[in-house]
Amino acid sequence: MTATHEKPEMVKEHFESISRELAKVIVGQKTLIKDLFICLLCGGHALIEGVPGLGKTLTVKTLSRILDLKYSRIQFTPDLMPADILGTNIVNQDDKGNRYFEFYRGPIFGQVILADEINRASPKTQSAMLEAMQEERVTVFGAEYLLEPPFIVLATQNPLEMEGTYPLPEAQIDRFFFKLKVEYPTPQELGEILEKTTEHYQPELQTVLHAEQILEMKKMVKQVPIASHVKEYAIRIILATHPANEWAADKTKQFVRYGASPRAVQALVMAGKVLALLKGRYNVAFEDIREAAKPTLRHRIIMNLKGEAEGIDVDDIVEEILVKVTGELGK
Amino acid sequence: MLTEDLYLSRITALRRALFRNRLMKIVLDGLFYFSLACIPVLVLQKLALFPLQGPLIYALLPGPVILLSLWRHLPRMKSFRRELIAIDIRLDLKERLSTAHEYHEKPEISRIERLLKQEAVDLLADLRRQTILPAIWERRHLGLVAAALLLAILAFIDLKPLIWSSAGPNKANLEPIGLKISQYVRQKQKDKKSETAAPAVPQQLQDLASAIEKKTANPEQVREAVQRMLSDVEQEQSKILERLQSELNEREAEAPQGPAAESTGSGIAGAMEQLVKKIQEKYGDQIPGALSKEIVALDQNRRLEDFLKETAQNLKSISGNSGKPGGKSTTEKGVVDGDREAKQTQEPNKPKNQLPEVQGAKTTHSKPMKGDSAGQSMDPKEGRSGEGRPGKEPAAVAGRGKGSDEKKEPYTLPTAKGNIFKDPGIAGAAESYNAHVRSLTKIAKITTTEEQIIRAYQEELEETLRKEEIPVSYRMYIKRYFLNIGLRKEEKGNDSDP
Repeated sequence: MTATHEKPEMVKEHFESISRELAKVIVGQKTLIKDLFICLLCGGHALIEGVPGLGKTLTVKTLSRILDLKYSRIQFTPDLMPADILGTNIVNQDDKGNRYFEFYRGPIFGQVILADEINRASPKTQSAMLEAMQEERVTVFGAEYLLEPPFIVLATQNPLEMEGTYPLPEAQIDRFFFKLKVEYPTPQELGEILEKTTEHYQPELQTVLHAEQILEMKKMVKQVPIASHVKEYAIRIILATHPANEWAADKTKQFVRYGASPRAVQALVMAGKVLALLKGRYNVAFEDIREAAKPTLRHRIIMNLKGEAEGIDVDDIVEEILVKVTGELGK
Repeated sequence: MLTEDLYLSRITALRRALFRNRLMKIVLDGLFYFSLACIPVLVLQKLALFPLQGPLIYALLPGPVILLSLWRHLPRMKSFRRELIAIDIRLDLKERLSTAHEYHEKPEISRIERLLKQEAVDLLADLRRQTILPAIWERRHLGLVAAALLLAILAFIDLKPLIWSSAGPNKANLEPIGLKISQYVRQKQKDKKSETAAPAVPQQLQDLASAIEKKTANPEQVREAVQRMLSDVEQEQSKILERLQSELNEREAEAPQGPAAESTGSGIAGAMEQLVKKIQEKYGDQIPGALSKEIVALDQNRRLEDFLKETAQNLKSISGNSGKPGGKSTTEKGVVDGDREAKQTQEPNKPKNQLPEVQGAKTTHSKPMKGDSAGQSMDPKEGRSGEGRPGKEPAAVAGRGKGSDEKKEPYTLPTAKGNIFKDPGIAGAAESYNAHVRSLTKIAKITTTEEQIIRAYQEELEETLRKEEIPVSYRMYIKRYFLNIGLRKEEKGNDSDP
């Protein structure tokens, strides 16, 4: 099953097969599935936001099953401790009666981690995932443990329930490659959901992708050519999110406190590369960058008080930035 | 390797095509500017206002025009990479050409990069060259067509009559002069005896009169023509004078010597007077035929000269007054002078320097002085000494009264001309309208005190309390509340009083 020489076209084919398998369980949510696939190939993590009952957890669970990856689910609660995630040293005794510490691995030692309702845990616990997410390793009592690649954290959060929650700190939010919004299903999709869940429907899921293939595709993604002017376009978009920058859009100046970090431009370009391959192209185009802009930037732009008070949607700001920067392309 | 070679050849071909395209644009722009520059040059040439006549200027124009085109294009010239980006954007090629070109310059390329290059090769092969290359023809080049059309039209149009006929005041002022000239010419034609020694001049005068009538001549041209004729007449005068002198000298050589004719006068006129006087003294009424003929020709020429001088003077006054508002004097003078001259030509034996009997008194105007001429129309009797005011002495009355037909010398004010009156424009409604809106005045001083008003309310309260079904325990409470308000107001009012 090991694929050593994946063709670029295979990325598209793999994605189509994943979509087909997921469609057995998940109705609609095509954008969500595509963005999750992009995160997987880019080695990024996704923060999935949506009201309860939209299938966030089910999507992640199903994805882990068809990808043949180790799946861990962490239900975040206010009393969850970092050791509950990372693991802890326990005292053990050998046959000779010698006692020693043995590291008991936590659920973070998986490949697809579902951090369910991540904003319910305290910041201390949330930050326990920082190292794992960024460096794919954990340090416990001075000992480093590498996580098995491919490693992807898919965290969910409920935007409505604010009581008893701890908003994620900026440092952690920035570590998420994409912030994905789960949209409410259409009437047709709702009907299909009813058919699949209230009748005798037993889908049989098949593994369509293996860890090696994913890693191979990850290597390939990095080889996708991107022209310098497209890179410059991505950079300008990022700079335009900073209110003090000359490229800043009007809404940025008005409603934004902090713009996107350099991680955002990396994410933009990487996502653009995967999008190019998904469209059967061998190079990144402006439209790929534009397509990746909203999920990349919506959690990285910090609104000011005025923006918060007026309920400005970050996506609108990103939209304006895209219009402004794209308008200056021909000049 | 094949892909590499193919890519290289295709991209080189594209580079060449882009260069040619750019060159074509420069040439087209040059043509556009050339046609634009030609229009004013041609117009000015047609109006004889351009210093260089003929096709030479059109041979000189391309130089600066090409420079202008280069100056416009060179700073905007894009690099090949930029051109490829522009093609990518224009044809929505998803940055394939520009990315392939950028990665082509790298020494080692990956598999995906090779695939990209192959894709670029296929694209270049599939796309038509006309599609890839930016359009040479832009919307502004429609101006080139318009300019060419305009040039073609201008080439066949004579602009001079259009321009001069549109010159309103000059046209109007030339009319009486033309009339005068044609009257003069007609008179000359009637009078067969009065053939001038300069036979070309009457024909020229006739041509000039018809040109003025057709409005194809401007004052400058008329002035030039008159000056030319004047110099011809003067030359002819001097020739006749020489002939007459030599004739006289020959006759004197045959006959006993008399006093020699010496020209003591100033110029030709003086010499002529002296000579004629001498001949009259010598021959009396029996002047020999040859001499008599020369004297008649001399006299005719002198009249012609006087007429031309007067016309030149009138033209000068036209140029002085043209464009000024209320240019009454020129037109009026022109007509009056024209009539006077016509009268003079009807009486050829009368000396020129003798004034008409009464200026403006017996002249019959062909048109009343209304309409185009700004002046007031003149009553035929106007200008005569008045009789219109009964009880007044007729001689002392000026103006509109019935004249006594007594002939008067025209009176000229000895003083210098005063300041020119500038007409400020047509009297009437102003451009802006001002209106005063007056505010309402204070109707009356309020004398009712606050206390009186509150008291009325209190009385009403008492009455309401009596009528309404208010619980007894609350009646006093409510009453006290309102009374308190009133008391507080009263206290406040008393405090504020000094």
